[in-house]
Parts: sequence; structure tokens; C-alpha cells
Amino acid sequence: MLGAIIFISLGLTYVQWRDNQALERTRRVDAQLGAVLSELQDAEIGSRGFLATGEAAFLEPLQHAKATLLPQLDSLTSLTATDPDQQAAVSQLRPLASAQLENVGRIVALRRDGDTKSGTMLATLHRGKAVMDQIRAQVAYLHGKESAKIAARQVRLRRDFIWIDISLSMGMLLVGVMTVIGLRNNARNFAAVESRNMQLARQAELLTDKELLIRRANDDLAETIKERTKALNESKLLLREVYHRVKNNLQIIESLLVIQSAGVSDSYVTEVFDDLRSRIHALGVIHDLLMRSDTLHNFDVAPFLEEVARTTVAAIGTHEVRIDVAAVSRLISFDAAVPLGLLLVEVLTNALKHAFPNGDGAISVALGPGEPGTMELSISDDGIGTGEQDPAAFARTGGLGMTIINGLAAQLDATMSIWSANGTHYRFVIPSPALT
Amino acid sequence: MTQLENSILIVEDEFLIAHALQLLLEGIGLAVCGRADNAEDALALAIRHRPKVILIDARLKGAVDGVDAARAIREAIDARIIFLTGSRDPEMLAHIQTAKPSAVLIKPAARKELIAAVSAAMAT
Repeated sequence: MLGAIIFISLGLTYVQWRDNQALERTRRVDAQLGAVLSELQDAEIGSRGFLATGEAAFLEPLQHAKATLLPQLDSLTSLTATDPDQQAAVSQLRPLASAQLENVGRIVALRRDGDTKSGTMLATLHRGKAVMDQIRAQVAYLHGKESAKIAARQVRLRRDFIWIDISLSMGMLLVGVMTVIGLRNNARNFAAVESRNMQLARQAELLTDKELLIRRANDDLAETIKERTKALNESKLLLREVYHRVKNNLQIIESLLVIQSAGVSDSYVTEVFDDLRSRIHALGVIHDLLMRSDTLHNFDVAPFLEEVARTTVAAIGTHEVRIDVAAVSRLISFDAAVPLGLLLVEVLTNALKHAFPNGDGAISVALGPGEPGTMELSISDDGIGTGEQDPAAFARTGGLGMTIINGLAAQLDATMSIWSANGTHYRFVIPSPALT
Repeated sequence: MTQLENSILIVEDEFLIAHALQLLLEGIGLAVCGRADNAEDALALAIRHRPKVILIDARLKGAVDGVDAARAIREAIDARIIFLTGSRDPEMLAHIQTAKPSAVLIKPAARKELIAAVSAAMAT
């Protein structure tokens, strides 16, 4: 729209410029007509002055007119080239002007000859007047036409100005409207951007606050973890110290038994002391092994059983007995480890004391998965077995050792089987939850 | 106290354990020349009796531990050192090795292991 208005305005400006040029040309034609008429009048007046006085100075306008009139008429012809009527009028004016100059020249010649009142002079004067009248009429005609043209072109110019004013006004109005719309849009956009910026600033502020909260929470959490880790380590240290003291006390009890039994000569009492010392020793060994656990809550049962078996054989065996332990790697709880370790010690002690009267022998220990949800502990020796005694009866009446074995098996919710075939065989089926 | 040439010196800060060890060793016919519960007494007894074997606890009463005491004794006399320790800490075990012991027994040591270690040391 703005482009169209600018195009129209430029077009109107061109039309206005063109009309202005035409008006200027018309004014020049009018001025040129006036100049031609003036030249001719001056020449006539000069000739009359020369006629009256005979002074040559009055002839100067005539000389001037002779020199300039024809170029002026040529100029008029050129200026009126676009108007056929004016061309015709100018062409009529040209012979009249020549005739008039000729008349004036004749008057001057007659005066120089001294003929001032002859019929020829009068006739020439009259003819000159008539020609001048025709010239005036022709000039008046042309002047009238030029005046009409000037008026018409002034009207057109005014109309051009009006249209230009209108188009410019519309253009300015449009520019103004567009500017207002643009400003309003800009203002709206600016307000939206400002609002968005404020929202972003608020969100950034909220994020910063939340970040600070998170950092503070993280710091608190890290501090809490640090404190609790420290407390846990201290607890572990204390627990290890407790186990250590328990182990030391067990060793002192064992020492007391050694001291107490030193003066005993009765072999049965000595054996009772030795059994008791041996069990106390086994308990000390178990505590020593438990102290080595990283968590102090659960233990890998495989190395635990191997160590218990090895130390038991080393402590009790009075002859060379081979021990073989094959246990799966599995975590068991502290609560299960103590009865399981003591159970192994008791069975091994029984075997070491009764199965190998002639010296050498072998014991095998195995722990692995049994029926679903159970673990199976098997302890076998290749000794003399239970002999004539029924294994079940042996399990019930086998002395303090069997009483302890029965009790520890019950503590582990285990089912115990004993049979005798190329040695004595124990099998304990332990529910898996009892070990964890 | 016995003052035999091939005797054993017991260095243990727990009286009952030291006494039981003495009874155990004497029960199998070995001679115990004395008992000490700290490094200074142990060094003095070792110089006086020149035992062949020193059965020493890694932890003793007083500022000097069993390892430093054993090193001092070895500088003073030619004796076999058997350590008793309740610790399985690798650093402690490495510390014990600096005294060049002939055996290291972890408490509670089995009687059989103890007798075997002492017998071996006495035989060298």
C-alpha cells in the first residue's frame, strides 16, 4: 500500500512538473509576444520621432528591431511548436512584422528625402497604422490564448498540488497508522518480552534458591554420612574390641583350666578338664575367625569351616589325620556361625577321639545346597564307625559330645542323620534361612 | 625358677596365661627359666639366664612392646624367639617379622601347635 502511494505521488509529481514546464513555456510565449510588440512599437515611435525632428537617434529602436525581431519570431515559432493554432498565429505575425518594419523603413527614407507631407508619406503612415493594428490584434489574440492556457494550467497545477497533497497525506496517514500499529506491536512485543524476561528471572531465582537448598541438603547429607560412617567405624572398632576381649577371656578361662587340671591325678577328671579346655579353645578360635569379618555381621562360610576344621585337628589330634573341607562360598550370619562352628568342632572332636584308635585316618567335611531351601553339611570319617551300636541309639546316648551336637543341630533347625558304613557319617540338613 | 641352659623364658603380661604356659611346658618336661610381663624385666632375665627360647607376647605391659623387647634380647643373647599374638593385622605381623622370629602363633594357640613350635626351636 505504501509503495502504491509512493508510486502515485511520484507520478503526480511528474505530472505537476510537466504542467509547470508547460506553464513556464506559455509565460515565455506571452513574454516573447510582448517583446515583439514592444520592439515594433518602439520602432514605430522612433520613426515618428525621426519624422518630426530628423534626428538619427530616434532610429536606434528601428535598428534594434531589425536585428532582434526575426530571432524573436523564430523563438516564438519554436516555443509554440506543440500548438498548431499558435503556430498559425505566429506565422501570420511574421509577415505583419516584416511589413511593419518595411513601412517604418520607408517612412525614414521619405523623411531623409524631405518628403514629409506627400501622399506617399501619408499612405505609408496609414498603412503602418493598419499593420500595427493587425499586429496588436494578432498579439492580443495570441496573448488571450496564452492567458487562457496559463489559467487552465494554473488550475491543473492546483489540481496536481491537491492530488499530491492528498496522496502525500494518505501516505503520511498510512505511515502514521503503520507506525502506530508498529509501535503498538512493538510495545506489545516489548511487554511480552519484558514479561517473559521477568518470568525467566523469577524462574532463575527459584532455581538458584532450589540449587542452594539442594546444595545445603547435599552438604547436610554428606555431613550426616560422614558422621554416621565415623560412628559406624567406631562401632565396628568397639565391636572388634569386644570380640577381642571375649577371645582373651576365653583364653584366660582355658588357662585357668590348664592350671586347675595340673594338680589332678585322676585320669577321668583330667579328661573332663581336657574336653572342657578343648571346647573353650574352639570357642576362642571361632571368635578369632569372626573378628576377621569385614562387616562383623556375616561371613563367608567356606574359609570359616576350613579354618575351624584345621585348628581343631591341630589342637586335638594326637596322630596324623587328614582333613578335607569342600564348602560352597556363601555368606552366613554371626548367629549361625557360632553354633555351626561349634557343631563342626564337636563332630570332629568325636571322630578324633574315637574313630582312629590305630593312628591314621581321614575326615571329610562338605557343605553345599541340598533340597530346595536347604543346605547340607556332611562330615564323614573312615574310622571304626559305631561298631555294634545302632547309630540312632548312638545319637541319643553318645555322651556329652552327642548331647551338644543334638542341641546345636536343634538350634540351627537342622535335621540330623547318622549312619555307620566304613566309618561314621553325619548329615545335617539345615534350612537356608537359619544360616542367614 | 629353673636355671637350665636349654630353658625357656616366658614373656606375657597376662598372669594366668603365662602361668598356664609354664605348666604346659613343664608338663612335657621343658624348663622354664623365668616369666616377665614387661620388656625391661624380660631383657634382664634373658641376660641373666640366657634361655634358648623366648616365648613372648607381642603386647606387653609398659611402653615397649614385645617386638622391640625381642629385638633387644636378640642383640644381647643368642635365642630363638617364638611370638604369641592375638592380632592378625598384616601391619602387626610385618612388625613382628622385623624381630626375625622362629615361629609366630596366633592366640588362642593350640597346645599341639605350641609344643611343636617350642620343640622345633629347642632342637635347632
